[in-house]
Amino acid sequence: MFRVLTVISVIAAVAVVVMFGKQLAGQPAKSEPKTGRYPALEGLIAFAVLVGLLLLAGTGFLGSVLPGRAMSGYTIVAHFAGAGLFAVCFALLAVFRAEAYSLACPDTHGRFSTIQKICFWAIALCGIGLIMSALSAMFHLLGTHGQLLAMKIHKCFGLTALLAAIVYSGTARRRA
Amino acid sequence: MKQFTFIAIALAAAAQISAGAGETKTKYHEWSGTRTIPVHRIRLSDENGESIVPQYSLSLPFSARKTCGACHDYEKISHGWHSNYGDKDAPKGRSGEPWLLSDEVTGIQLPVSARGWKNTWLPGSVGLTPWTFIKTFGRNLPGGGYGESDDGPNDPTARWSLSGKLEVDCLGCHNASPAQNHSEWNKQVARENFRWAATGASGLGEIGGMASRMPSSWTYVQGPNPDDSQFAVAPSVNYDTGLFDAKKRVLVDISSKPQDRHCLFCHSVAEEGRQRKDLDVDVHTRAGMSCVDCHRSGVDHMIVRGYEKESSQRGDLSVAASSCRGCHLGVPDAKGAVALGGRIGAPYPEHKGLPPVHLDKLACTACHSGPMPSADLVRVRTARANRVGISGRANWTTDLPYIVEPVLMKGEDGKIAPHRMTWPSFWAKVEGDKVKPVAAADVAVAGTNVLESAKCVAGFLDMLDIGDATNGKPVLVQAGKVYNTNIDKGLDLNLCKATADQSGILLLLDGVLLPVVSGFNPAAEQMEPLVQARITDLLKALNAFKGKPEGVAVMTVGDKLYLLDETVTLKTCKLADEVDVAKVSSEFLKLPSKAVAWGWLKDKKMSAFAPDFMVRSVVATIGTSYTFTEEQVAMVLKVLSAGGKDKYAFICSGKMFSLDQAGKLVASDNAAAEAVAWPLAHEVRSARQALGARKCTDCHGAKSPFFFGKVVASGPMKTANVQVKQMSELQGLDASFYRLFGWSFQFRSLFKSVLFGAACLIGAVLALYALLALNRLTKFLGSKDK
Repeated sequence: MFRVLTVISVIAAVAVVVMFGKQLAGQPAKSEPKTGRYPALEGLIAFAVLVGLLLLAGTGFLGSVLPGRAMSGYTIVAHFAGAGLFAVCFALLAVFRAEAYSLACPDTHGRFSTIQKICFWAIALCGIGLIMSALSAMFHLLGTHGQLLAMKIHKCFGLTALLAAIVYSGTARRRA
Repeated sequence: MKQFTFIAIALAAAAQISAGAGETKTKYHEWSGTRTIPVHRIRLSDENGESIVPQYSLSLPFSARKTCGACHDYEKISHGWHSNYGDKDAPKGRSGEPWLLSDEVTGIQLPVSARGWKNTWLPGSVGLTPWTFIKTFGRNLPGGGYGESDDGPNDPTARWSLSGKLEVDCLGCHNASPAQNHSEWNKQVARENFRWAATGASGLGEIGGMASRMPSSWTYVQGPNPDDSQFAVAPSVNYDTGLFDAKKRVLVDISSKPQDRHCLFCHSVAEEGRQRKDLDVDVHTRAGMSCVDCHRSGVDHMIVRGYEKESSQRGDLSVAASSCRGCHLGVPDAKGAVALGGRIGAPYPEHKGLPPVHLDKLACTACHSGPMPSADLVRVRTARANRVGISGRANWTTDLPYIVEPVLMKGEDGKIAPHRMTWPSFWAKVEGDKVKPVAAADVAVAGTNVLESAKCVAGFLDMLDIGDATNGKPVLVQAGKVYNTNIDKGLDLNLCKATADQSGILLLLDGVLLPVVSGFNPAAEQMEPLVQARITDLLKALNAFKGKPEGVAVMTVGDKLYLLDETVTLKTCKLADEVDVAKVSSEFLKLPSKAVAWGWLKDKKMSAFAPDFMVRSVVATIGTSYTFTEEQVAMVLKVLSAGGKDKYAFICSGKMFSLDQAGKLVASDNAAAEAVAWPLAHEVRSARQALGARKCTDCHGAKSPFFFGKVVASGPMKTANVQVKQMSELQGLDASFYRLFGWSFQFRSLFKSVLFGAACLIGAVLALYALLALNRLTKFLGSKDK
């Protein structure tokens, strides 16, 4: 069931980006967008987040969800490595870019569109869900049923984060 | 016409009635629903169906088929799991402990199973007929199966007509009386008193005589032989008449649920060398359960074995409820209470902190059963393989075969589970890629004076054990170790240690090593009379030794040689005159010797008291788990291969050993040398003692014995060429991955901390901007722009 949902939702997200990406991306900034205080570092962190995200999505969905089996072997080692990278780098990115992604004013800093901002905060929320659902399984807290539930929650947050990432990156390219 | 019709009808009716009479079936007792057990005050019947009169001196033993079978479906029962091993239609089931055909002299340790389990031999393929199978393994068989075989005419060695059939011994499991004695069963089976075994074991009567000693022409109807009441005494039963009432009925204390002690007669397993006080019983036993609470059966006696796929193999969903999962977690496809699990109060396993993937890849027993995995495997003895549990004056327990546990390997269901393992050891004729076991008797002939080195040396020492016992016992001293004779006419390693200058044959008295001839001074001009008498007596005894090689017994020290002349008088000679010293090539006889040395002299050639290979074998094997050396194996293979037509090999320790062109022993791999393994399920440890209950690194470590423990093959031959496998190899897992994965666990705590910190930081940022958004909202709602 989740496999089917994953495939359908990913296809739908890609379709939305392709068909409505330009509209969703909105108008470019009227003035020169403000950059962060340390743009090079920020860029590096953003790149690391992207790498982590790709690693997690690849190992998680291609290595486990789509084949329909539990993750094991080098796949799980890579997933754990990606998880650490993503968690640390996304937390740092949140600190660096929270203001730029703020929804207080539609065009704060002028760097990101509203849809991108929404996607960012969605990923942030999912990030907490992903981390906590994974962490809870690593302690003597949850029995088998709890572990299975945590895994379902992890998958749901993972799918949501993936969809948000697809929309984010799809609309970013289309911003004139 | 009417008359004709009437006659036809009458004839047809008569035919129907007579046919019906011939087809009358016995109606067996079926459970009516009562929760009590009927009192079995019953008459006993013999195999002819005749009621037994206990006072009659020539009474036959009772027959379970006729006695129990009068009310219970004996035929059905005799095709139950314990007896159906010979049935062609019987399900194979999961591999279990095979029979191990072993012979201590030839080092044979051959796994045999009539069910054709993996890496076992069918009884027929190793020369076992139903008769010899029963004779060999009947001690731990409940009767039936081959015991009621009709194969007699095809087996010239079978003596069923004397011994009777070994019927299913119902009382062996169902007799709650403390008089039920399995050791008595063993004794009677060993004596070939098959017909009498159940009666003797039950304590209802005393069995005398031995069918094994009776001439082939004897049958029980002949009764005892009045001319021989000492040796060839016919088997007989003397019933305890006090147990019988006036109607010749006896009260048989029947329990529908066999007590654990009956199961443990044949299914005991214990770690070798461990003391009973250190054994912790299974948690189920501790909780008040008995074996049959899980291992159930109906009248069909198809005992539930309790493994996971059993229900699908047997096509019986109710069987699943008796597996670990079925009892504790419930049977998913079942209905009602069975689906819920928790039978008989079985606790629900939370498995907190255990990722569910473990439950898919591991059997329950991997974490909960058997000894904790450690660097070294544990050697165990089982009742069936090592004859444990047979009590009496004689010690039946054997060291061979060697069984180790826990070997964590992939089972037949694809899950990792702990197994017991042993390696076959046998002499084989090589026929292309295949090997065929050679019978122990043939190997023993080929190995005459080669294999039983310890007994040969012990025989020599026994010959020197003359005179006053308070002077000490002869021992062999070699390489600082002392070897004394034992009650089995073999050798034991003595705790006493010898100094570097002590070697050869000495006397051991109260832990002190003394010369065999006390007061002997080789330098003295005149030998003392007592010393002379002593040496004379010793040489006389040695010359009478049946196991001696050709030649006369001699004693030598320095440049002197002492032997008996034709008149059996001690003669002192010069060594150089009697012996060609240059031709002495023994490693253990250096001439001229500094200390007293014994040997044999023929045609000026002196040899040591025992061939060098024997002394080397004693030094290498006595006090160890080995039986013989590579040198001895090579010698036997040479004898077997004499003639050059056939190739022979010795399978041992996971390898095949054969002779190369130069006559040297070489090792190679062969499928027949692969170990035989069977899953273990007991003793089940408590939840706190489960693997991983304390920490994940119980298994997930870079050096964890679970994955990286070494499984070193063992066998009776002392050799460095043994098969060694890592647990991960047996589990079908990538060792390098699990080493990396285990190594990563060092950083697990740090990893968790980092993840938690990152989550807190993201959460803080989210909270901050959520609060800011709330602030804007409150401002918006709280004021209105004019």
